[in-house]
Amino acid sequence: MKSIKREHHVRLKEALAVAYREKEKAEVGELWQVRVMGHIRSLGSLYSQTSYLGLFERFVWQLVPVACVLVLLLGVAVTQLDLISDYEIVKMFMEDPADFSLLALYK
Amino acid sequence: MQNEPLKPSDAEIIRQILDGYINAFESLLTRYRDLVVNIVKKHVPYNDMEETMQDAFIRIYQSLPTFKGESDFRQWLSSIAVRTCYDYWRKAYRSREVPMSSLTDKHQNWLEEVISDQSEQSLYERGSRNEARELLEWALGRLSAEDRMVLELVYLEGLSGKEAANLLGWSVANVKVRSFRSRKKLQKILTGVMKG
Repeated sequence: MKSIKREHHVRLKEALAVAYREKEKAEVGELWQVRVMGHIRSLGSLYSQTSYLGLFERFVWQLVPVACVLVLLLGVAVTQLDLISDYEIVKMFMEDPADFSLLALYK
Repeated sequence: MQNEPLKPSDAEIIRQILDGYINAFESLLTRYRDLVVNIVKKHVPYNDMEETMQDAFIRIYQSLPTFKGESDFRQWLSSIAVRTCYDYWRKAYRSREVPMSSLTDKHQNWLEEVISDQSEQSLYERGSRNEARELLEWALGRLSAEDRMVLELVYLEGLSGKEAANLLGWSVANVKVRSFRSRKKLQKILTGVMKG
Protein backbone atom coordinates (compact mmCIF):
# COMPACT_ATOMS: atom_id res chain seq x y z
CA MET A 1 0.00 0.00 0.00
CA LYS A 2 1.24 3.49 -0.85
CA SER A 3 1.67 6.06 1.87
CA ILE A 4 1.12 9.80 1.81
CA LYS A 5 4.37 11.68 2.34
CA ARG A 6 4.56 14.44 4.89
CA GLU A 7 4.90 17.25 2.33
CA HIS A 8 1.84 15.99 0.48
CA HIS A 9 -0.33 16.33 3.57
CA VAL A 10 -0.38 20.11 3.18
CA ARG A 11 -1.55 19.87 -0.43
CA LEU A 12 -4.18 17.32 0.47
CA LYS A 13 -5.39 19.44 3.37
CA GLU A 14 -5.75 22.49 1.13
CA ALA A 15 -7.66 20.55 -1.51
CA LEU A 16 -9.97 19.02 1.09
CA ALA A 17 -10.52 22.43 2.70
CA VAL A 18 -11.60 23.77 -0.71
CA ALA A 19 -13.96 20.82 -1.10
CA TYR A 20 -15.35 21.49 2.37
CA ARG A 21 -16.01 25.17 1.62
CA GLU A 22 -17.44 24.49 -1.83
CA LYS A 23 -20.70 23.06 -0.60
CA GLU A 24 -23.79 24.05 -2.50
CA LYS A 25 -25.33 27.40 -1.71
CA ALA A 26 -27.99 27.06 0.89
CA GLU A 27 -30.80 29.38 1.79
CA VAL A 28 -33.95 29.04 3.78
CA GLY A 29 -37.15 30.71 2.70
CA GLU A 30 -39.84 32.72 4.43
CA LEU A 31 -41.96 29.61 4.80
CA TRP A 32 -39.24 28.03 6.94
CA GLN A 33 -39.19 31.11 9.18
CA VAL A 34 -42.98 31.03 9.56
CA ARG A 35 -42.77 27.35 10.53
CA VAL A 36 -40.06 28.00 13.13
CA MET A 37 -41.98 30.91 14.65
CA GLY A 38 -45.09 28.70 14.80
CA HIS A 39 -43.08 26.12 16.73
CA ILE A 40 -41.63 28.76 19.04
CA ARG A 41 -45.12 30.10 19.79
CA SER A 42 -46.32 26.60 20.58
CA LEU A 43 -43.57 26.34 23.21
CA GLY A 44 -45.10 29.24 25.06
CA SER A 45 -43.71 32.27 26.77
CA LEU A 46 -40.36 32.10 28.53
CA TYR A 47 -41.74 34.52 31.11
CA SER A 48 -44.14 31.95 32.58
CA GLN A 49 -41.40 29.28 32.56
CA THR A 50 -38.89 31.50 34.30
CA SER A 51 -41.47 32.90 36.71
CA TYR A 52 -42.65 29.41 37.77
CA LEU A 53 -39.03 28.47 38.39
CA GLY A 54 -38.50 31.67 40.35
CA LEU A 55 -41.59 31.05 42.47
CA PHE A 56 -40.45 27.50 43.21
CA GLU A 57 -36.99 28.71 44.19
CA ARG A 58 -38.41 31.39 46.50
CA PHE A 59 -40.71 28.83 48.11
CA VAL A 60 -37.84 26.40 48.72
CA TRP A 61 -35.62 29.10 50.24
CA GLN A 62 -38.42 30.26 52.56
CA LEU A 63 -38.56 26.76 54.01
CA VAL A 64 -34.86 26.70 54.89
CA PRO A 65 -35.17 28.48 58.33
CA VAL A 66 -38.11 26.23 59.26
CA ALA A 67 -36.06 23.16 58.32
CA CYS A 68 -33.11 24.40 60.44
CA VAL A 69 -35.36 24.96 63.50
CA LEU A 70 -36.85 21.48 63.08
CA VAL A 71 -33.38 19.90 62.91
CA LEU A 72 -32.37 21.70 66.12
CA LEU A 73 -35.55 20.66 67.94
CA LEU A 74 -35.14 17.05 66.87
CA GLY A 75 -31.52 17.11 68.01
CA VAL A 76 -32.52 18.37 71.46
CA ALA A 77 -35.35 15.83 71.67
CA VAL A 78 -33.05 12.93 70.85
CA THR A 79 -30.53 13.92 73.53
CA GLN A 80 -33.16 14.66 76.22
CA LEU A 81 -35.52 11.72 75.80
CA ASP A 82 -34.50 8.30 77.07
CA LEU A 83 -35.30 6.34 73.97
CA ILE A 84 -34.89 2.60 73.94
CA SER A 85 -34.28 1.06 70.59
CA ASP A 86 -35.82 -2.19 69.38
CA TYR A 87 -32.34 -3.68 69.40
CA GLU A 88 -31.95 -3.02 73.13
CA ILE A 89 -35.37 -4.56 73.93
CA VAL A 90 -34.50 -7.70 71.99
CA LYS A 91 -31.09 -7.83 73.70
CA MET A 92 -32.69 -7.62 77.18
CA PHE A 93 -35.14 -10.36 76.31
CA MET A 94 -32.42 -12.63 74.98
CA GLU A 95 -30.19 -12.13 78.05
CA ASP A 96 -32.89 -12.82 80.64
CA PRO A 97 -36.01 -14.26 79.03
CA ALA A 98 -37.47 -15.61 82.35
CA ASP A 99 -37.74 -12.26 84.15
CA PHE A 100 -38.49 -10.22 81.16
CA SER A 101 -41.86 -8.59 80.90
CA LEU A 102 -42.98 -5.62 78.96
CA LEU A 103 -44.44 -4.02 82.08
CA ALA A 104 -41.10 -4.23 83.87
CA LEU A 105 -39.55 -2.41 81.07
CA TYR A 106 -41.80 0.62 81.49
CA LYS A 107 -41.80 0.77 85.33
CA MET B 1 -35.15 63.26 4.71
CA GLN B 2 -36.53 61.07 7.46
CA ASN B 3 -34.15 59.13 9.63
CA GLU B 4 -34.56 55.39 9.68
CA PRO B 5 -35.97 54.15 12.97
CA LEU B 6 -33.22 52.74 15.19
CA LYS B 7 -33.19 48.99 15.30
CA PRO B 8 -33.50 47.59 18.82
CA SER B 9 -30.33 46.03 20.18
CA ASP B 10 -30.04 42.30 20.83
CA ALA B 11 -30.22 42.94 24.56
CA GLU B 12 -33.50 44.87 24.18
CA ILE B 13 -35.04 42.13 22.05
CA ILE B 14 -33.94 39.46 24.53
CA ARG B 15 -35.47 41.44 27.39
CA GLN B 16 -38.77 41.68 25.48
CA ILE B 17 -38.76 37.91 24.87
CA LEU B 18 -38.01 37.18 28.51
CA ASP B 19 -40.87 39.52 29.48
CA GLY B 20 -43.20 37.24 27.56
CA TYR B 21 -43.35 38.90 24.14
CA ILE B 22 -42.68 35.78 22.02
CA ASN B 23 -43.04 37.55 18.65
CA ALA B 24 -39.90 39.57 19.37
CA PHE B 25 -37.95 36.38 18.69
CA GLU B 26 -38.72 36.83 15.00
CA SER B 27 -36.36 39.83 14.95
CA LEU B 28 -33.52 37.66 16.25
CA LEU B 29 -34.47 34.94 13.77
CA THR B 30 -34.30 37.37 10.84
CA ARG B 31 -31.11 38.99 12.12
CA TYR B 32 -29.14 35.78 12.67
CA ARG B 33 -30.70 33.41 10.14
CA ASP B 34 -27.85 33.74 7.64
CA LEU B 35 -25.22 33.25 10.33
CA VAL B 36 -26.84 29.99 11.41
CA VAL B 37 -27.32 28.88 7.77
CA ASN B 38 -23.61 29.39 7.15
CA ILE B 39 -22.69 27.32 10.18
CA VAL B 40 -25.17 24.50 9.68
CA LYS B 41 -24.66 24.06 5.94
CA LYS B 42 -20.97 23.34 6.49
CA HIS B 43 -21.57 20.56 9.00
CA VAL B 44 -24.85 18.91 8.07
CA PRO B 45 -26.05 17.33 4.78
CA TYR B 46 -28.19 19.63 2.66
CA ASN B 47 -31.35 17.56 3.12
CA ASP B 48 -31.24 17.85 6.90
CA MET B 49 -30.18 21.49 7.02
CA GLU B 50 -33.59 23.10 7.55
CA GLU B 51 -34.55 20.73 10.34
CA THR B 52 -31.21 21.19 12.09
CA MET B 53 -31.53 24.96 11.82
CA GLN B 54 -35.00 24.77 13.33
CA ASP B 55 -33.60 22.69 16.21
CA ALA B 56 -30.84 25.26 16.68
CA PHE B 57 -33.27 28.18 16.90
CA ILE B 58 -35.53 26.32 19.31
CA ARG B 59 -32.50 25.67 21.53
CA ILE B 60 -31.52 29.31 21.25
CA TYR B 61 -35.02 30.37 22.30
CA GLN B 62 -35.13 27.96 25.23
CA SER B 63 -31.62 28.94 26.35
CA LEU B 64 -32.26 32.70 26.31
CA PRO B 65 -32.85 32.87 30.09
CA THR B 66 -29.31 31.51 30.58
CA PHE B 67 -27.71 34.20 28.39
CA LYS B 68 -26.12 36.59 30.86
CA GLY B 69 -25.05 39.21 28.38
CA GLU B 70 -21.42 39.00 29.47
CA SER B 71 -20.36 37.25 26.25
CA ASP B 72 -20.94 38.30 22.66
CA PHE B 73 -24.43 37.21 21.54
CA ARG B 74 -23.17 36.16 18.08
CA GLN B 75 -20.57 33.93 19.71
CA TRP B 76 -23.14 32.47 22.11
CA LEU B 77 -25.57 31.81 19.27
CA SER B 78 -22.84 30.28 17.07
CA SER B 79 -21.84 27.87 19.82
CA ILE B 80 -25.45 26.67 20.13
CA ALA B 81 -25.63 26.17 16.35
CA VAL B 82 -22.35 24.19 16.33
CA ARG B 83 -23.47 22.04 19.27
CA THR B 84 -26.77 21.34 17.50
CA CYS B 85 -24.78 20.10 14.48
CA TYR B 86 -22.66 17.96 16.81
CA ASP B 87 -25.83 16.47 18.33
CA TYR B 88 -27.13 15.82 14.83
CA TRP B 89 -24.08 13.67 14.08
CA ARG B 90 -24.15 11.93 17.45
CA LYS B 91 -27.74 10.95 16.77
CA ALA B 92 -26.97 9.94 13.18
CA TYR B 93 -24.02 7.75 14.20
CA ARG B 94 -26.03 6.15 17.04
CA SER B 95 -28.85 5.24 14.70
CA ARG B 96 -26.32 4.35 11.95
CA GLU B 97 -27.91 6.77 9.52
CA VAL B 98 -24.61 8.14 8.24
CA PRO B 99 -24.63 7.83 4.44
CA MET B 100 -21.90 5.44 3.34
CA SER B 101 -21.42 5.89 -0.36
CA SER B 102 -18.86 3.72 -2.08
CA LEU B 103 -15.75 4.99 -3.80
CA THR B 104 -14.81 4.44 -7.39
CA ASP B 105 -11.62 4.73 -9.43
CA LYS B 106 -12.26 8.42 -10.07
CA HIS B 107 -11.95 9.15 -6.33
CA GLN B 108 -8.69 7.23 -6.12
CA ASN B 109 -7.43 9.06 -9.20
CA TRP B 110 -8.39 12.41 -7.66
CA LEU B 111 -6.42 11.64 -4.52
CA GLU B 112 -3.32 10.59 -6.44
CA GLU B 113 -3.55 13.62 -8.75
CA VAL B 114 -3.74 16.01 -5.79
CA ILE B 115 -0.70 14.47 -4.18
CA SER B 116 1.37 14.47 -7.35
CA ASP B 117 0.30 17.86 -8.79
CA GLN B 118 2.53 20.87 -8.16
CA SER B 119 0.30 23.71 -9.43
CA GLU B 120 -1.50 25.78 -6.76
CA GLN B 121 -4.17 26.90 -9.24
CA SER B 122 -5.08 23.40 -10.21
CA LEU B 123 -5.17 22.47 -6.55
CA TYR B 124 -8.09 24.87 -6.07
CA GLU B 125 -9.81 23.55 -9.17
CA ARG B 126 -9.32 20.01 -8.01
CA GLY B 127 -10.76 20.81 -4.61
CA SER B 128 -13.88 22.14 -6.29
CA ARG B 129 -14.58 18.91 -8.12
CA ASN B 130 -17.39 16.58 -7.10
CA GLU B 131 -14.95 13.75 -6.42
CA ALA B 132 -13.30 15.85 -3.72
CA ARG B 133 -16.57 16.46 -1.87
CA GLU B 134 -17.63 12.84 -2.21
CA LEU B 135 -14.29 11.56 -0.97
CA LEU B 136 -14.31 13.97 1.96
CA GLU B 137 -17.86 12.96 2.95
CA TRP B 138 -16.92 9.32 2.64
CA ALA B 139 -13.87 9.73 4.86
CA LEU B 140 -15.71 11.85 7.45
CA GLY B 141 -18.43 9.21 7.59
CA ARG B 142 -15.84 6.80 8.93
CA LEU B 143 -15.02 8.95 11.93
CA SER B 144 -16.92 9.42 15.16
CA ALA B 145 -19.15 12.48 15.68
CA GLU B 146 -16.52 14.03 17.98
CA ASP B 147 -13.66 13.44 15.53
CA ARG B 148 -15.75 14.72 12.67
CA MET B 149 -16.69 17.99 14.36
CA VAL B 150 -13.23 18.79 15.61
CA LEU B 151 -11.68 17.92 12.26
CA GLU B 152 -14.11 20.15 10.41
CA LEU B 153 -13.58 23.09 12.75
CA VAL B 154 -9.81 22.90 13.21
CA TYR B 155 -8.42 21.08 10.18
CA LEU B 156 -10.84 22.23 7.46
CA GLU B 157 -12.06 25.63 8.71
CA GLY B 158 -8.75 26.57 10.28
CA LEU B 159 -10.08 27.67 13.67
CA SER B 160 -7.71 27.76 16.62
CA GLY B 161 -8.00 25.22 19.42
CA LYS B 162 -9.44 27.88 21.69
CA GLU B 163 -12.07 28.99 19.17
CA ALA B 164 -13.15 25.41 18.52
CA ALA B 165 -13.22 24.71 22.26
CA ASN B 166 -15.50 27.72 22.83
CA LEU B 167 -17.87 26.61 20.10
CA LEU B 168 -18.03 22.98 21.23
CA GLY B 169 -17.95 23.66 24.95
CA TRP B 170 -14.91 21.41 25.42
CA SER B 171 -11.57 22.14 27.05
CA VAL B 172 -8.76 23.42 24.82
CA ALA B 173 -6.63 20.39 25.74
CA ASN B 174 -9.41 18.03 24.70
CA VAL B 175 -9.79 19.79 21.36
CA LYS B 176 -6.04 19.67 20.70
CA VAL B 177 -5.70 15.99 21.54
CA ARG B 178 -8.79 15.02 19.56
CA SER B 179 -7.74 17.20 16.65
CA PHE B 180 -4.36 15.47 16.46
CA ARG B 181 -5.88 11.99 16.69
CA SER B 182 -8.67 12.67 14.19
CA ARG B 183 -6.17 14.07 11.68
CA LYS B 184 -4.14 10.88 11.97
CA LYS B 185 -7.28 8.80 11.50
CA LEU B 186 -8.25 10.78 8.38
CA GLN B 187 -4.78 10.33 6.93
CA LYS B 188 -4.95 6.61 7.60
CA ILE B 189 -8.37 6.38 5.93
CA LEU B 190 -7.15 8.29 2.85
CA THR B 191 -3.96 6.24 2.66
CA GLY B 192 -6.17 3.17 2.52
CA VAL B 193 -8.01 4.63 -0.48
CA MET B 194 -4.85 4.93 -2.55
CA LYS B 195 -4.12 2.15 -4.96
CA GLY B 196 -1.52 -0.28 -3.74
